[in-house]
Amino acid sequence: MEQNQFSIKLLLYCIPILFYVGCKVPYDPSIKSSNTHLLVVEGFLTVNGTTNIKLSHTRNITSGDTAAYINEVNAKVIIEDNNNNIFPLDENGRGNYSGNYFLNSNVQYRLHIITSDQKEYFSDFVKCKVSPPIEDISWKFNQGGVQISLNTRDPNNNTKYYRWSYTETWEFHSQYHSNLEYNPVDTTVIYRKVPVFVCYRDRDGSAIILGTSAKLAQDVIQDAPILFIGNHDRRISVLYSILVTQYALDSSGYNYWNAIKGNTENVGSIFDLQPNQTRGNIHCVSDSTETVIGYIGAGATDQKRIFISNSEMPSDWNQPPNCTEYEVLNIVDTIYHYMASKSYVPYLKDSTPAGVTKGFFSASGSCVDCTITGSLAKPTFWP
Amino acid sequence: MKTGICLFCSFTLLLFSLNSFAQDRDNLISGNFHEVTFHEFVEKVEAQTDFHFYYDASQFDSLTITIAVSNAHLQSVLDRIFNNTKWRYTIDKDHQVFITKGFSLAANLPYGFFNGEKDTASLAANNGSNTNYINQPKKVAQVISVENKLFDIGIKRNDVPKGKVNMAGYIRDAQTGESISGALLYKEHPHVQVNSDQFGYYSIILPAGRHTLNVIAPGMFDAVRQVMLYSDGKFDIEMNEKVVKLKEVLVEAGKEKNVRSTTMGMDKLTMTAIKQIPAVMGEVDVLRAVLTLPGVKSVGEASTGLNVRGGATDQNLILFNGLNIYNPSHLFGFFSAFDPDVIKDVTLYKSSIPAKYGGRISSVLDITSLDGNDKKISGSAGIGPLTSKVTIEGPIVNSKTTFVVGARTTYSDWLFKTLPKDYEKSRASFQDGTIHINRKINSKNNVYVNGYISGDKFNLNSDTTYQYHNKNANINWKHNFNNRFYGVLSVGIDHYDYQVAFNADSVNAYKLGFSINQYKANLDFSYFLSNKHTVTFGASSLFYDVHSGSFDPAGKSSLIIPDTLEAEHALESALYLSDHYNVSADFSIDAGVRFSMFNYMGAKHVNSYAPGLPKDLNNVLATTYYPAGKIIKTYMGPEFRLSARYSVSGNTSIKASANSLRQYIHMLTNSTTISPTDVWKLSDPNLQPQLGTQVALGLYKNFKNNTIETSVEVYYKWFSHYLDYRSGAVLVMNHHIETDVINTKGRAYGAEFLLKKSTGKINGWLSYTYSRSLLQQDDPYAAEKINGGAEYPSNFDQPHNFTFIGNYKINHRFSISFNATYSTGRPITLPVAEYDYAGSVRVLYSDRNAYRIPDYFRTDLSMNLEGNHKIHQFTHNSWTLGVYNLTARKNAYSVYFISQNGNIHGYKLSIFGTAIPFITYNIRF
Repeated sequence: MEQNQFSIKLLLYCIPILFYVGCKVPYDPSIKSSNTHLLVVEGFLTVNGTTNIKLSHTRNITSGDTAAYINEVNAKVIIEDNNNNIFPLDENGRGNYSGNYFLNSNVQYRLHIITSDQKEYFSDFVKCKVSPPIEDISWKFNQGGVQISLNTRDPNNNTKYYRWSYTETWEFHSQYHSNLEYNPVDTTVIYRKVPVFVCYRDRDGSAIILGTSAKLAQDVIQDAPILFIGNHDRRISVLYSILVTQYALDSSGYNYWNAIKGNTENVGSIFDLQPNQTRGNIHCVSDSTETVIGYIGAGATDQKRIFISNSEMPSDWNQPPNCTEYEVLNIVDTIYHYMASKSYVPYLKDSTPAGVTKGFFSASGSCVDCTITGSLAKPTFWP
Repeated sequence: MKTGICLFCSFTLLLFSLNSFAQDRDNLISGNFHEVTFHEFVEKVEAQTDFHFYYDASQFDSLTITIAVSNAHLQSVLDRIFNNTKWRYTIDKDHQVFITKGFSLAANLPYGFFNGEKDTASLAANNGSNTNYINQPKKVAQVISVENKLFDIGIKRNDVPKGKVNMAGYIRDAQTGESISGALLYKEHPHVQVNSDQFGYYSIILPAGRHTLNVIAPGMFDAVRQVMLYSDGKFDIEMNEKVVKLKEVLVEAGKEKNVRSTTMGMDKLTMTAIKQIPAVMGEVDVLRAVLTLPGVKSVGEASTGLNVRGGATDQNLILFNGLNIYNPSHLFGFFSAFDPDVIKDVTLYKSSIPAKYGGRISSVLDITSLDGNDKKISGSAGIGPLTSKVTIEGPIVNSKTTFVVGARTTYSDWLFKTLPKDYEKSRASFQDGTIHINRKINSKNNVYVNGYISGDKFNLNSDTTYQYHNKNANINWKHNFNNRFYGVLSVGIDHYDYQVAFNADSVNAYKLGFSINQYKANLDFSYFLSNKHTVTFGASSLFYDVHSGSFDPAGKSSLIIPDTLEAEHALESALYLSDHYNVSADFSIDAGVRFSMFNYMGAKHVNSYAPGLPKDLNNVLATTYYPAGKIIKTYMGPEFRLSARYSVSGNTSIKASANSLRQYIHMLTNSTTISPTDVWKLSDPNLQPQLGTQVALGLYKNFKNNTIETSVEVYYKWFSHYLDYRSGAVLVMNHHIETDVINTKGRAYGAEFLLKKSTGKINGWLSYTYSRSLLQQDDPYAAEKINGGAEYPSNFDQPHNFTFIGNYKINHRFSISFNATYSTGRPITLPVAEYDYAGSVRVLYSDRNAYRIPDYFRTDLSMNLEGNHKIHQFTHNSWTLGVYNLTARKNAYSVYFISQNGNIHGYKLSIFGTAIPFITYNIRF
């Protein structure tokens, strides 16, 4: 249950309904660019594991161009407690700072940042909140897909505010077994050394998932929706796994996350709220009016993983991928043209009865070579 | 029966009359008649002689005869009686006497009628007036007879009356008996005028004697009445509705109402005008019609919330027959909650607001239902793509009691089934019902009963159901103390509630409820002191009972902790006095003062906060409990309502007004449009009442016999204690809402230009409005300031607005309406920067309302096809078909940026993003 549970999420693109004709169209308004690049601090002070802090800066809206990351490098990032103990973090590239400390969950911590241009930032002192264990993660068919939900409870009624993030991992198979591969050295097709039939892929969730039991008599979260996987999704074509991390939040942290979520995920209805300008808990020492993005919380997290097998899916779940097949003739130029860019990958030789290679049965790259979208390395936790 | 009294038979008998009279010796008349009616005179003459009289009795009921004759010829007697009048007589050879008015009859057919002889004689000419064969249609003759008839008012005397006399009565529609409000009754030389009030009642003081009175009202044929005033008396006037005439060019005079009336910034729309405006899906919509008026805006097509002259949507008092409607919308705001078939007219006061109204600071929208046909039971029914409706009106038992009932329901669920799968489980339905009963107890007492109910229920593909209801009723007793003085006592109850329920079998299943009840009593008096002064005064009292919120578990497995906000109670009382003062024929003033008082009452716990610090829970000094009935806080103050008119010439006038208003109730909303979960909150010790002031100046000029009206109005208004909200404010189920709101002040200004042609084959209006609406956070103790405390445009600040509404009656049965609207896009807050956070690109917003959505432009077309025009048939039917948004322009409702799969995408949302054809079928019976 979220704070804005009463707002009506009318994600109706077009209410008069009868005439459902593209009422939502991409739009790119001209927005004045600004030269301010505000500091963005993302991370969580983990008492029972690795603390990761990512420092970056805001950038101009560039019509979806996400390449222009502005990371804050060469900064000093230190965890401080209210007994004047300090725990410096190590920089490990691209604005990431991390450290592995066993922190005492009974004291308060804050984050201290000195950026490369010597500006100094502090977060507020925050209490550690220890997440109760995730009770279970369940899934069921709902509206033609798989709805993954989570249950948890805090018997001590202490947690109340929750956030979840997740990482998905799935095993998938190529449509064709291939014993051939393209050899770029001499533009030939040779026997494959490493099979590319079974691959794995993982991905972090990009949605903010929040829940609260603040209005309930017990600190219980029931069926909090984590993720919905639509029918025929290739993620559950063999075996799928999701690892959910549960964070316990304080109420102002919850409000901050809810504000970001509201501003960037719950929009587009006819009852949209005014943008929420809730501030985080990080402040610039030299300029208290400077906006710093991010909310630092501290505590212990809990994680749980489940697996979902394709055999549990209904029979119409599996749909063959859209593969185009083509026989690439055994001519150097032709081979180069079709195979150099991996638009076609060979899987079977076409030989004449005399043993002359006429050509190679090939198919579009991702149908033969799973490494185009995945990795061959089997995760350690994979059964 | 000797006397042949036949209303119109003089016309039909004409062809029988042949030669002129022959005088006989024994047909002489003797007698001493003193103040006898013409009828009595005729009876005596017929008794003495063998003459037979034929005349229209209604023309003679005011004629008295005083004459003494002895053995006189009838001809000489009639000459003496009718000398210097318009009466003419004709006596044929069969001793039949025809009395006519304004023309004489030819007792002979024209010379040569049968034989082709040449007309040689001046047979026809008689006293220089027309002689014809009276073959005019019956209907026209009736109008002429009523207009030329001299009505006696008061106790008749023979001698010429002297002194001043008061005449009062109702102005009504001749066909349906509907009262006509806002009709103008005037006489020339010297000019004296009065308007009928909301009951159609007027009262005028004139010198005793004979007068010609003109009556004009929108949508009605101008009426003329001849009255002879002897002493105070009653006189009801019936007017005929303007019906479309085939191939007739109407030239009308006397439409100078806009120039003559004192009120400025008042717009009145009749249902006839509203029905001509093309409507979304053919649903004739009162509020959308009001939105076409200059100075009225909404934030978008999904909303019927009105922003009048830069005011917020909660600053309008929406009255339906005096019932205060809190949520005037259906289907999330797409349609207004008023059934168009029961409505007579709609009046919007946006500048000078009469002193009898109070409680909202921006405008008053006064919607009036039909009174009910007092002649016969009639009704109408309509079928459209979204709704069906039926209306019945008529007299009960006799014409003293009339009623109107209307009901409307929707069957829009099927629409959702045509939608993509995501929405197929959505449901929406709405209903509304209206009843109005009007009972004339006697000439001094009338009772009016009104009821209104509306309900909405919907869910949007989820287990969450939303419902809201309006329920209102009142009873009004009007008592005429005398011709010049009447009072109206009304008592009523207004109710609004909503519920949101999440009904899944879950620990989170809940029911959320809110309701507001108002119990009110009003006493209003009108006193026509003289033609120079009309005084209105009265008192009102309104008790609020607001159940601010309850949050309860639903179902067995729910773990929701029941939570109820303390109910709020308050009494809002007001006294007012207002005088309409005609200083001279050219200069008149409306001056009013309203004193309102608001008592916030227990039982309630109230927090007090440390002065000079932001209102948050850390700064609570004390929480005080006040028992039931104890007054916690009183706000009071005067409100001034002034307006004046000066006529520069007969068709040009200048008006000015200044108004101040107070509002003790606030709507808490954090979204740009009115949503069904908005909460109403009373002023309390921590939330001050909203105050508004407006000054305005206008110039009005009519052209071409007043058929073309033009006006320019400029205004400037400012208001304070308007509520805005801090970031992350919780508006629902908040036990200390004062910590989440921020005081804002605002100002608005603008100029409205209007060109209007309300009559003729081509009619409509063209308006251009320039207006600004600006807000500024002026709360010195607010923890955060929107835009750093600088002034920023409000959500409905749309500087340029251009509206054209046109209607062309091609013929009797076919008319075309077209409208076009352009306005500047509304302000919107857009992101200025993006960043990565929690696995996705996120956005950082600019200053509030620093950008605008694209400009709005829409054209609509509709055609109205009437069935045949035979008056006597069981049903009359008509078709309306048309296209909404003819150019299919995808007008932006909002522009937003959303994170999807880790990236940020900008979208433009349109509500009616395509051309929408519609067709409706209406039946009248």
